[in-house]
Amino acid sequence: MAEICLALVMVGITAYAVLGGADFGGGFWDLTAGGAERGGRVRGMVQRSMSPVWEANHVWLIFVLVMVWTAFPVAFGSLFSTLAIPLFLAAIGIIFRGTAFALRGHAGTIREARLLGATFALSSVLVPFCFGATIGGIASGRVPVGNQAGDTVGSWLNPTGVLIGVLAVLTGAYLAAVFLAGDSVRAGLPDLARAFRARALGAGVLTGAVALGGLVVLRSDARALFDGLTSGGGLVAVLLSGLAGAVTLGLVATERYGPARWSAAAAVAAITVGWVLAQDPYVLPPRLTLDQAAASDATLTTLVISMAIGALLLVPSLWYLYRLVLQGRLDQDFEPLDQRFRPMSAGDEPEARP
Amino acid sequence: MADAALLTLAAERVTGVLGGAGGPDALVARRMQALSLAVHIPIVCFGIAFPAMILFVEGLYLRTGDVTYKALAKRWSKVALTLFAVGVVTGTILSFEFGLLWPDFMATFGEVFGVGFALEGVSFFIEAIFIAIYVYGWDRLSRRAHFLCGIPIVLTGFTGSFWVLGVNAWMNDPTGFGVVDGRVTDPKPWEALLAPNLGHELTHMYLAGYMVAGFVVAGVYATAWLRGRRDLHHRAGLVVALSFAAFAAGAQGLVGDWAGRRVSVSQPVKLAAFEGVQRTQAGAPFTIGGYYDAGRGEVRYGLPIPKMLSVLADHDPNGRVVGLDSVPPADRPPVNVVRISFQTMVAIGSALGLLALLFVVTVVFRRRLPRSPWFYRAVVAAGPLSLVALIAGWIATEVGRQPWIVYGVMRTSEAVTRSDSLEIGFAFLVVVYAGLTVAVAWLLRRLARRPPATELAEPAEAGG
Amino acid sequence: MTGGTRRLLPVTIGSFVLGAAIMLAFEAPLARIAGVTLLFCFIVSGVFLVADPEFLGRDEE
Repeated sequence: MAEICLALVMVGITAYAVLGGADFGGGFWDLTAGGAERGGRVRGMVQRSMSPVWEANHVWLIFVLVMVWTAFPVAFGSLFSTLAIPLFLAAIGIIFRGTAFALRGHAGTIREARLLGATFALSSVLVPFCFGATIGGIASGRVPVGNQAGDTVGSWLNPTGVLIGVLAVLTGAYLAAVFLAGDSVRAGLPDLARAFRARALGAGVLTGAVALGGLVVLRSDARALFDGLTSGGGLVAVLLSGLAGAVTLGLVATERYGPARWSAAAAVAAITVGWVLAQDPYVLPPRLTLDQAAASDATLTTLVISMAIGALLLVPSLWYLYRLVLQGRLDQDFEPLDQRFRPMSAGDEPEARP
Repeated sequence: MADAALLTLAAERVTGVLGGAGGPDALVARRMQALSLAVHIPIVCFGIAFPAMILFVEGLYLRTGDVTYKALAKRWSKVALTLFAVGVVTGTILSFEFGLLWPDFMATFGEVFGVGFALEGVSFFIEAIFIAIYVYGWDRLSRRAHFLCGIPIVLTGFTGSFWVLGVNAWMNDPTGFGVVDGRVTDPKPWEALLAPNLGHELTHMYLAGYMVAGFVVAGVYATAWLRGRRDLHHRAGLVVALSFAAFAAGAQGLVGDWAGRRVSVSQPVKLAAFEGVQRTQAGAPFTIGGYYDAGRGEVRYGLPIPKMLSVLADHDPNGRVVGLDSVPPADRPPVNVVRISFQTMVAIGSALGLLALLFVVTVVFRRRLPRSPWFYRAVVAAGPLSLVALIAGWIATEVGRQPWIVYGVMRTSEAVTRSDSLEIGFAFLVVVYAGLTVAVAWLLRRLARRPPATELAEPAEAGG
Repeated sequence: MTGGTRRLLPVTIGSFVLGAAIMLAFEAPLARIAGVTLLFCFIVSGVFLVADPEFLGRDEE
């Protein structure tokens, strides 16, 4: 039972890493898109792609949270109290990000647009970094069992934490560029497709390089994790992830964005599995094992059954949403962002759709 | 009977699994949690009620073919989407706060009530999916498909509240687990979540959602009405919103009575705090207003109505009401906060009920809307007042549960994080929420200022 | 009021009175379910009674 619940948590983390990560990555490209005129088209595409799915994407985070606090409550309490700072920062970042995104299309002046845009973009980088650092803290064995029993700063601000934080940002950017390239093709905007293709290739290569270089960091900072990733199941997962990443680069280079989405997602899924396998049998290395952390069987069984029933409703609904989105039936008109600000007129702009 | 219940509670005390020592900042933690809840719960009201209101208006469009109703429904659905986005964000913060502020509560009891949140998460996920389809699918799905996609949103507004309130009901009347040597054993999630309190908590909050959403929206249109905007769009907005609010208000009084009676049985000390009843007594009075003096153990400067509290709690003028002195002072909630909140809620609720009655009687029997501008001014006031009543009610019940986080089983001070720098977090949060409120208000005003006709400047429909 | 809504008035009043009586008189779970259901009927029929297209479409001022 505990293994099933752990598997569900992993599914949630992977889904959040892929979908939420791509969402955050969209914000990264927004931040780096350039000045208002040059960057407007890129930003408009990001806005358009994210709009129908961003909330559904972020519900995975809640799913992970809730699964962990029900199935592994002691681990949950321990990690939330020790890693309170990055988690609190992530929470604040999520507030800013969500608000800025919802408000952005309605900006009436260029100052408003810039403020909202900057808020959105910066928080899109802060949040994945904090989550990555949190994972780094756990994986490097810096979270003991207890009410804030670990070092509240050192547990996440250390080589492993920073590495994984940076990797999270880069991975998100990479995923986003791949997805956005595909979306641009669907929107009939080949210039944007090329722009995102270039970004995807660049981000993909950079991510791979940092990941490889990161292994060196892990070897000195978190030896147990390094060992886990370079032997047994962990090694298989890492190799698969690398392979999927390379395949993605190839698909993107040859402009086959549809399959590229899947191989990119597979790369992320593989590394998530690799992380869990590398930590096996610990939930909170180096002490708390899966069996110790798990809740009673009654709870785990109830949880799994509830999730199974929930999935019966949820999977068809999600499938329906993504089908509508990928068919373009929920697409709003493409509008380059922030291009409406010529000399300001007296009243409200006659707005196009948000 | 109540004293025996309190004695058994004493035997069921649980020590936190992470040590149970808590930390120094319990009061700050409570305030942070309260602030986050106060920001989130009004949005939940819209999540509960707004979809039904929107679907009703879309139904009017489908029945009459008048596109004014379509524009109204579209406008409302965009507002709903914005509020939902804010609700996702504030709800995420709440989930984080459960872990950040109360790690020992989560670690100790997560396995008992956690499934409730898992189910709420599923519900909420489905809601997010269908809201996206509904708002972005106007004119892109067939008329029938679009309307049908609104139904899951209405249903998930209910199921989401069901599970969350299940957890809250459990916190107030804990069941579904055993205690051995201060440790939780044998958790039974279903028993825990379908706790006895759930019925009245859920019904009360569900109706409150309709009152808040209805009166707030009606207030917007009443303001327009007072400024002379009385075309079909504004009239429909006003009447639909006000109808939902008014009939919910009519039912709410009865549910309040039910809630009061249950609380007198399951949490007698909370009821004593609602009313400042010091001594256990038969035929207890209901004192309106005034101030509870802990030193003298009585309410001063209030207006007592003899026997009224026993009537309300027990439907028996000589019913026995348990007093605050049935438990040691350390086990009593802060009386004045609880009492004033409770009475504020009841006072506003009653006033809203009267407003509702006036509206319904005028429309049904006089076959017209009220003519006096004072009515519309009252409706404008009803929006913010219903919000005040909502928050007051939640303060009454949550602060009334103190010093317990799990009634009679674990104290709030034992569950809190060991961190001693929560003030920084609190300051941060206040600034962030202030900014959030300003931003959302700004956006909603922007949306409202656009002429309704812009909702219809969309591509041709996908067909019936 | 149109003919359809004419029927709603006794339904609205009736479900309120019956629901209120049950809610005030009884505490058993089954009674609570019945009472809440009746109150729910009260609200639904009331909304349809008041927010009826003929009334909404009227031009009063």
